Amino acid sequence: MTTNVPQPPPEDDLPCAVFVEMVTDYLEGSIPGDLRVRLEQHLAICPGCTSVLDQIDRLIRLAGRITEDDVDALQPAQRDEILAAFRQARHPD
Amino acid sequence: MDGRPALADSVVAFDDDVVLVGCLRDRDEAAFTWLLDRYDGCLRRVAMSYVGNRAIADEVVQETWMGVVSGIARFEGRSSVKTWIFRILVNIARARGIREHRSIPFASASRALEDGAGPAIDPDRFLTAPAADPTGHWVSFPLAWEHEPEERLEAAETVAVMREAMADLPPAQREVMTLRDVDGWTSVEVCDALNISETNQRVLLHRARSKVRRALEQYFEGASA
Ligand SMILES: [Zn+2]
Repeated sequence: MTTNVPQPPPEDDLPCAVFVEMVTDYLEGSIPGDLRVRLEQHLAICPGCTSVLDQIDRLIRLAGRITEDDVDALQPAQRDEILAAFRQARHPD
Repeated sequence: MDGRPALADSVVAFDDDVVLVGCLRDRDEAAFTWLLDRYDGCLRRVAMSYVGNRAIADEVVQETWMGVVSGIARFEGRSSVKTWIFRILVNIARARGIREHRSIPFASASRALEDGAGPAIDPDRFLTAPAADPTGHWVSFPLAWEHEPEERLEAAETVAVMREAMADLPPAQREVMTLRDVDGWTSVEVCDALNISETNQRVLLHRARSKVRRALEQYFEGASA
């Protein structure tokens, strides 16, 4: 494989391999201030890590779409049965 | 500005656990119906991640609601109503999963963490010592599929690729990602319902998201080849 990536400036000491393991922590806000600044400085100069961050962010939003059709809706008969149990529990006598 | 109809007021009120629990204790059917319609779909998704079969998931969910009905009087409010219900589900689903000889997602947190462990991105994609650049930068940047047109990203096929990738995840990872990203739970709620630490939750979530991201990358690479 050949390198087609521009070299980062020497003051960027954060390996991309480390950055990609911190993406969820970064999005959760669980990275302390000084390290967060380093991550953001790295993002400013690294298109690869920026892609990974944007992609994770994107897939979180896409995941919200899965709710629409992946499970059966509660069937009326079952709903009635559960509600009947609730009503019955209301009058334990 | 205060022109909300009365119905909206009552719906908003059930969002408040103090109000909701009070109503449930008073056996207010509107409160229970609200709860049922709000969480049934999410319960089914989580049940599926344990038992992998719609008919059994259906039974698990039914048993969960029965548990909610019989347990309301004993609910002490130490957790939210939402996480209390999901704990009931998780316990029933785990017991059922054992009976169906399925793997148990949270049999032990350490096992769950080992399950499917691995880096977010294949290490071959970064430069490492003794290569010219020992700082772990990209050999070549990942395909920037996030710049694909909106209609392509939002297409049913893309969502289907994602759903399949999630189905292939180890159970613990799938469950955390389902609750966080599909159902929009907070990390506190997930930790509370599954009884795992904040750190474990983030590790499981990150591994799950990384694998799904990779599956999407492969899908877009294949499509653009
Ligand atoms: Zn980078």
